[in-house]
Amino acid sequence: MNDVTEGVVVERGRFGRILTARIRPNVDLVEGIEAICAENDIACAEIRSCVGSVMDAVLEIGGGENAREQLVKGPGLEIALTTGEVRPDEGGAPCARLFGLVANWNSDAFAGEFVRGRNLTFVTLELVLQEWLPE
Amino acid sequence: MNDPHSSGEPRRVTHPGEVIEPRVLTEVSETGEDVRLVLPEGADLLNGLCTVLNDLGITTAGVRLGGGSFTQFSYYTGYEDPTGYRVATFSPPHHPPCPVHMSIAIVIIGLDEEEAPKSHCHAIFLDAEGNTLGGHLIPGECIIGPGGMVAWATSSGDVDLQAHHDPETNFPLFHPTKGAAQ
Repeated sequence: MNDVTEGVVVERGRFGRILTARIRPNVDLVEGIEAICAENDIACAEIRSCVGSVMDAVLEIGGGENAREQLVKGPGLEIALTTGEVRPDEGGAPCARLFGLVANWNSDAFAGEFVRGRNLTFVTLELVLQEWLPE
Repeated sequence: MNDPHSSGEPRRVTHPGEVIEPRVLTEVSETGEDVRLVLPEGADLLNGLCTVLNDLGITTAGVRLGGGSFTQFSYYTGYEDPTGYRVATFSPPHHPPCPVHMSIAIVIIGLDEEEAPKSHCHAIFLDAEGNTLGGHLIPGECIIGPGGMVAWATSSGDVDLQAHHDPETNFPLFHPTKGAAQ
């Protein structure tokens, strides 16, 4: 068995400001959340809750060499983000990774990571996001 | 709605109303509050959440929950709007066989046009036959089963989400407003 402590990254900190937002139609949800953080000088954040819809969804599933993109066709998919965080990229700009759920009009359910630039809001996206302040 | 996928560019939706700027609306609160709730068997999930949070003075929150079962359950999916008033509307209610087991649900709690509590919940769940399904849960129609249900809520501090008519989409939608809540 591997030493589970090997390679672990621990970051202590505390939560800061809370942002409450709505994103209008035809905005990529990854880029939209990054824009919200950039406008408010937030480098790190956690998605607390997010509900809305996208036109179509492109989700990455699997990982590493097995990663592949799954297209879920709309129009109009219900979505919810289950996990998501924003971290600074190499240049210091906020960079979001978002994971969640999608359901189509037949109630078929899908899950995965939302691929940047490929998930445009359909009617709305409602969001509660909290700043993370590392020590 | 334009043609799907052929260009590699994501499809865009065209709503009936004029495009409204800005495309992203945000309000900031310096503080909020986190709350753990246990809703009892027999409670309605969404109306119960609204009532309990409102009693705590929390009018807008993001809520996360999973696990637990339902003895009564119904939900909407998207549906073509035959009137053309909107690009889509809600389907008739779906009634999956119960007990339904909740996998994951995310809820946004806010206020309706008259400042009464209003919820917006999307979830993935298993019906009694083991089918994995997803949709938009209906307030007043999802009754929690034995064992109750745990939920974690993050309040939005002094910011509220309040619904009002959105002339671009013709839906009543949540919009952030400053200066309310706790």
